[in-house]
Amino acid sequence: MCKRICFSLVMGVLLVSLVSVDSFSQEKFPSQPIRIVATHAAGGTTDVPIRVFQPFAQKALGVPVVIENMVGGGGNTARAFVFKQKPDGYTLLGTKQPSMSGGEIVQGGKFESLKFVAVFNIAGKNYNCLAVPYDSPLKTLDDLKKASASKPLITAGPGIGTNAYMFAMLLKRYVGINVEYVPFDSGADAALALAGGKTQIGVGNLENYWPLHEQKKARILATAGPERDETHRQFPTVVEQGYPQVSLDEMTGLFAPPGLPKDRLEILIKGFTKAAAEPEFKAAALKANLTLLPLAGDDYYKASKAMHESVKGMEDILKAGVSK
Amino acid sequence: MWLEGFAIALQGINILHLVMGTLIGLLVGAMPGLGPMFGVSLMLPLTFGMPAATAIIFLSAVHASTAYGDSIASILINTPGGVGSVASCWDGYPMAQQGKAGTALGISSTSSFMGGIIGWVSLMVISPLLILLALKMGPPEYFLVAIVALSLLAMASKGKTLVGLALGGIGLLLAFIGGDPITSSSRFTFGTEYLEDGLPLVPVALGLFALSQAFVLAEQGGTIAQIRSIGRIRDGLLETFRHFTTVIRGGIAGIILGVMPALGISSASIMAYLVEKRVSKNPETFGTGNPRGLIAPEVAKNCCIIADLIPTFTLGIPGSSVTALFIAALTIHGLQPGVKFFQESGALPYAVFAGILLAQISFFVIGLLLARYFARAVLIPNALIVPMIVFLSTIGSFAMRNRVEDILVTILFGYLGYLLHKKDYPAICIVLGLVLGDITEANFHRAYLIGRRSYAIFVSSSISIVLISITLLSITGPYLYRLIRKMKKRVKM
Amino acid sequence: MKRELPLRSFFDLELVILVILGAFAFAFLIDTRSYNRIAALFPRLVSMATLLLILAYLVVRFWMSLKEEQPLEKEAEASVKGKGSISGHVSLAIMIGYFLAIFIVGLTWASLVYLLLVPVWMGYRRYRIIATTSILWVIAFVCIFHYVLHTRIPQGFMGDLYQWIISR
Repeated sequence: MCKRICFSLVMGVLLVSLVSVDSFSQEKFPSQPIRIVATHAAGGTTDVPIRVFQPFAQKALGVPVVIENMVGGGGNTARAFVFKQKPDGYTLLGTKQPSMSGGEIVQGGKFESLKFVAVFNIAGKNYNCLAVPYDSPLKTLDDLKKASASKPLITAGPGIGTNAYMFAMLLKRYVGINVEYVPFDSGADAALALAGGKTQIGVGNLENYWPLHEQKKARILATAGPERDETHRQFPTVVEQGYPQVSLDEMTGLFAPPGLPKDRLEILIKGFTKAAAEPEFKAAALKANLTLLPLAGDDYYKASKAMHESVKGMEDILKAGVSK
Repeated sequence: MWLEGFAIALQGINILHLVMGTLIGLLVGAMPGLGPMFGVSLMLPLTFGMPAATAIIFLSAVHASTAYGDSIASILINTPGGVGSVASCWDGYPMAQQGKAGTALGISSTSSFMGGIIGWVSLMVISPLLILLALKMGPPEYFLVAIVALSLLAMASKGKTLVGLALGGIGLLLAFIGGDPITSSSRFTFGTEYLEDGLPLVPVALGLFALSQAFVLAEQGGTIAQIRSIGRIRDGLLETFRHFTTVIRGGIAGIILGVMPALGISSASIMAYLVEKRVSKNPETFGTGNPRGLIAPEVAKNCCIIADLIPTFTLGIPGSSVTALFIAALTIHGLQPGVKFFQESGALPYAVFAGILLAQISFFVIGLLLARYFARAVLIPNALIVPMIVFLSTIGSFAMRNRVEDILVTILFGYLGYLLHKKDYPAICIVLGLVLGDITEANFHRAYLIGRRSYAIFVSSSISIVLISITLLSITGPYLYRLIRKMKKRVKM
Repeated sequence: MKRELPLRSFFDLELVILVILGAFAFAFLIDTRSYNRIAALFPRLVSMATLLLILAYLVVRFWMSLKEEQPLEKEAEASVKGKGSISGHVSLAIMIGYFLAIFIVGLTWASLVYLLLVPVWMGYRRYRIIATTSILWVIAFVCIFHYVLHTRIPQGFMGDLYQWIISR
């Protein structure tokens, strides 16, 4: 009986000590698994670039890289969580910009986008688009303007505060298309509603609408980026039609909690850059329809800050649809 | 093309991954609270190094067998293995108590298998038709479907209608906690960040059904099976075939609710159960071990899982959050779901579909083989089962979102479930309300906005009219029937 | 005697449950005063309907309990109470204790203690089986969660203290 108790205690102590290895010890960094906390569910547009990147990052850094999807608050739960974590380099945030800035400014998230340490950006140039049902008589931006003059156009899109929502509000303010925004649970749901002719126009990610366009269930009229999408060059941008303010870019990358030591940041950047340069990664990204936009450290911070500023400039438009 | 596809799917390495995926899925599914979403998202990173066909076959196996495995815990210890198998507890567990655990598992395997086959056939054959249906469904129609489902509340609470409806109302209110679906304003959150996204479904369901069961068993002492027997698995197989109409009904429920992206396995299984109870000649036997009560939700659940793939493969739009993972997996391996799926890379798409079919067969065979060993669990004394249920429920509710507060939610709802059980109140009404709350409210408001703030939109399509008629009929049906009978009697006299 | 019985059967568990649920619905109704129109619609409708239903049920029950002599309500579960049963309140207390223990010593230790104690409390005397199964369960899950899934396991207050001590 006594032997058993001793045995169990020893096992227990071993267990506890194995499980609680301290993360600020003086050993080489990294020596423990690195955790990337993603803001949205697995399989979504925020998650996929990180997942495709993960095995290469793992190889380059030499430790397991684990993705944890902390869904909630439109991404703010994950962002607020990582903001409070120890800046030891073992917990990183995987999020889109300008969604993060949007989450902070419009939804009041409990974090500060500009205080995060920008580590590495994976993918970018992920544009939104504007679409109509296939048999709709509306074919150009002008058609939309005219049609919306008498009654606002019913617009399907993902939730209030998302990039697509910002796009719709920009269209309203600068192009003069009067929209009545109907938020759906996700971009995919909104696209489906549009394809069924339930709404007059729809906004959302190009990836949501492209399959429908191919099957002649919807027609994409324009994209929201600063330039035409590389894999879909046939769609004009709103910018080139004379509205330079209606420009939304989107990138997905990794941030660290404020206070990350310079040396650990350098190690992470080196590892991620090496991973992103691997030809196998580039091939995998191509297969997954990702446009890569590798940016590191200061460059990444600058790009992120630029996006933050533009969201700040749109604050009044964006807050119009949100009532807390 | 098909032959090539099957040839690829039947290669040694793919069969190996098929079996591995099935076993992993069974284990994950058997754990309370962890369902297909958890299983597939866990396994996804492991598939990166695999060739495309192997990866998809592996994930399909995990997907299908996790959904099936969810029922194991439901039947044996009245603990839902996942939100899709809550309904399987209601008649599965009484069967286990009566010493027929093996039979119940046999029914579960066979029904799940048939559900999977029905789903697969509809995926292959009638996808285009079903997609037309999915496209015709807009917010007004979804709202009315939710109303039809809510009208089943009265059925669910036969005998205690007032309380059942009140509990349904409570469930709806619980669903309203958090941000509202249109304006995202916080409701009933008291400023806590935890409730901003509302109450998580898995901990609530685990609490109401699994943990409450732990309370009950703790009070009972002894063992689950009141008789020391587990029954014959073969009987379960035969029983399923005997109730073929039930299988068909469950399959239809699974297909329709699977194709509609907004509704998932929890709605499908619960609704199939309630519909079955409705059309039965002796509804009072439901909940006491009626085989039909187990067949219907099992068929619907596994059929729904496959039917969820229909919008995924035809439109490239995810039919559920798990299928969003599938799309990601397909994309990462270079396959593009959508109209171009069959035009690419030769036999690979056919291998994928062959793999999905094989996954159904796989969990059926392995499930039947292992059922006998699983069924022995009911002979374990409650003193060991109760702490195990609590421990597994704790892990299950924590693992989903990695939040310790979820464990507290499970405990609180566990106690509530226990109290409700003591008074024989139908806890399923709370779950029904909780599951349907968001769909009902969100689609109502969306429909109102789309209809430009007029209610005419709710009667403007043929589907809406049909749904309204179904609701009215289902509520007034029994009374009308009685009235007609009385009138007939009077005419006779 | 006849007068006392109906009242006694009225004030029981059922009333407690209904009061709790009714209070929740009422609290929600009050809270809707601060919502905007869209957000308030459904909660208001449903909470009012729920309150009405609960009140209606209470009225019906009260009326029924006055009409007939109510024998003591028969309990829902079969009275087959095997040996070593624990009542609901005690179970709840143990579970809350387990939950708090997670905060103090972490999930691993709390689970181990819980799995070891409860069977004994329920009267199970085969200590070897209890010890083996409990330790195996905990080790299996900790290994899977930490080494395979790389999930954070709550360390509790003591766990954090222990780490702080090590790092000195």
